[in-house]
Amino acid sequence: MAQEVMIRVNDLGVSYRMDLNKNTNLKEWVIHALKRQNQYRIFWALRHVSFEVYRGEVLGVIGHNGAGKSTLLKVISGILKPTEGDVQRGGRIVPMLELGSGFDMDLTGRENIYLNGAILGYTKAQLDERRDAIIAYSELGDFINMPLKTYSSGMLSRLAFSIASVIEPEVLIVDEILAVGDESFQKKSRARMMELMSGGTTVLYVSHNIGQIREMCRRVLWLEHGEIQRYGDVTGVCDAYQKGI
Amino acid sequence: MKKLTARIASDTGLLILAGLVVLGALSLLFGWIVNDSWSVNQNQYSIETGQTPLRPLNAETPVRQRIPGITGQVTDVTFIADLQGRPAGDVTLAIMQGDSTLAVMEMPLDGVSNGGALTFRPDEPIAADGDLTLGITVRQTAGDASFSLRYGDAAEMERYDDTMRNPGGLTVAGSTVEGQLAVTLRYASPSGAMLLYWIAVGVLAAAWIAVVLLYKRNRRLQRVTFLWVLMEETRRYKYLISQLVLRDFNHKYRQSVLGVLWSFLNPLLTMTVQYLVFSYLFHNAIENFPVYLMTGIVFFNFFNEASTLAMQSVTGNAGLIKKVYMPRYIYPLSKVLFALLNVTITLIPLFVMILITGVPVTRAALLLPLPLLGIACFALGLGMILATMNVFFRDTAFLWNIVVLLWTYMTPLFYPESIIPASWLRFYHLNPMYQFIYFIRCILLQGVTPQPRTYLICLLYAAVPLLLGFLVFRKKQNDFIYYL
Repeated sequence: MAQEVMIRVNDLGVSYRMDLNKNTNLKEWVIHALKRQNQYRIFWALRHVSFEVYRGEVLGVIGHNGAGKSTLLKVISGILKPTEGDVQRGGRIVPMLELGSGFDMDLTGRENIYLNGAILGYTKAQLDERRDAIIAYSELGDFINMPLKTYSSGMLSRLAFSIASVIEPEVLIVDEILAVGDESFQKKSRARMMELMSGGTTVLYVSHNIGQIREMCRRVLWLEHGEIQRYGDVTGVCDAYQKGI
Repeated sequence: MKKLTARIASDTGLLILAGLVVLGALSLLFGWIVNDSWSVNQNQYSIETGQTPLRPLNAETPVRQRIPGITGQVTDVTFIADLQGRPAGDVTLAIMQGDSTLAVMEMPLDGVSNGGALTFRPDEPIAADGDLTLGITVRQTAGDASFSLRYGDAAEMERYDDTMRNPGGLTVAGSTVEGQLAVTLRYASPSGAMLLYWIAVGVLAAAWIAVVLLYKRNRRLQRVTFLWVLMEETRRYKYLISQLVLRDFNHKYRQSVLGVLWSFLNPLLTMTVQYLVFSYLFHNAIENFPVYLMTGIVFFNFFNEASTLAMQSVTGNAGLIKKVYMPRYIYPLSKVLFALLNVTITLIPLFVMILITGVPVTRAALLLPLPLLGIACFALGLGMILATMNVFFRDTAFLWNIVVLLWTYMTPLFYPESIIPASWLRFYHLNPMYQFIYFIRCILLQGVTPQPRTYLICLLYAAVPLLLGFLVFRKKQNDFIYYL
């Protein structure tokens, strides 16, 4: 079956120039420059990474801390420019934001829906249309008209999840935050994820929770030291990963 | 509305026509505003700071002052005179060029105010071409009044360069006195500026037609051209930018009881404080000191706020930059737009002040958006460079505070420009904020449009830093994330 490719990653490489002195101000930089001590080391966070993700697919990304998972997601969403290789995207990519980033604590929940929605790339018309659904879905009730600083962290993450998921994105990036809210909201959010995927949303899903990965994904990408360790069917990769631990 | 714009954009003929109509309307409006002052050059020869009285003058001590290189129609000549006692008689001004006398004007002595301006205004403007000599003779019919004119003595003239010092230009009763009379001579000379203006409008119209035709013919051009990319991005991120500005706006005004009122009060209070402090020093030297102060405060604050907020915009949004992709220039841009919104609000107390103090508002005030946009572009360009620096070196913010402080004193906000030595003026005028504020004071205080030269300078000071800032920002923006 010919499937539509939503993301194509071609021989991707990202290198950092590691500043050994860690200059953070002009004074230090000048001093080190004068002493000729401004040294750098090249560090490859990702190298020779190639894969494809199809429409409606959920790709799990696993690997130990520092394996390059977050770097990969940043390159895919366009935040980082790759040093070599490229990424082709077939649709708009919406990251599910971590707690707080993109939220403004002094504004009300309702105002934050528009602010956050605009940051995620939605238009005013889209937001007007889905506003009530977002409010209902987040289960915030009257709190929606209160400033965000009065919210609990569970309420914040419920709002964040609702904004990112109620409007159907083409590609959704989920970095470790499905454990949102209390148990009933977790169940609800997992159900919503399933619904999105069957509705054609492509999901890139990063987690250390292998159980969840097995449950949600068909294929898995295992990164280690910036390179692909294994890439393929969920059972094979997860078994190998867990054996290695 | 949307349908209409889409229809116009898709049809070549309509697009050309619409562009020409807009261009025509704008250039007619602008031409109407500037026509009076651009069709002639209003020139002024002026030595303003004469503090010393020449010795008392009478019929035996005629004063002659040479004024070099005046070509045009002389409309008025102003001296500063001191008069004590009971005046009777008159004072005569003769304007001479070479051997011929161009005009003779008489004024009764009892019309002269002590320590004030003494202005001679001919019924018809006097045509002059070359060096002029002003001859002043006082004829007293009763003997107990003392009349003298102010002049800048040798020490005072140190401030001026050689042409203004005009050595040997002042004689009293035939003998040379070192220094110069305090004199302001206004003259108009014909100007080709309006002609150039209409030619420029014609060139713009032709360029528009050419660009549209080229664009419509060449599909590939449409995809790659910078302008197209810019238009596309603006369309796409318009809503996001408006939300970011709205957020800052809510932030600023929601927390305070008085809300927007602060934007009214702030410039008024600052103006009052500075007025109390400086009015003794500079009061006499500046016409309408309150409005002079307030224009300086409002528009320099705008520059300060816009550039500082833009500088902090990237580091301040580190959390977002690391998580969501959007063009990075949106951060400084939204801050400058927010500052622009703020300054628009503070225009209200400014205009209230203008009305209260009775400054005539002329059609030149319609030009105000131009210098505002100019300052915004300048601040955005500078802000993008500063924002870039601030990512890599966090002490940029502290340095910038000091620079702004210095900048405040380098710009004539609360003092008159005349306290700056003439030999420094060349460098002093290089300050972009000087030019923008000069522009604003021209249209608000004097009620005239500045000369074309000022437009060109302001355009340059808006465009070059903006372009430079854009290039620096674009070159470095991909590295931001490693340092946030």
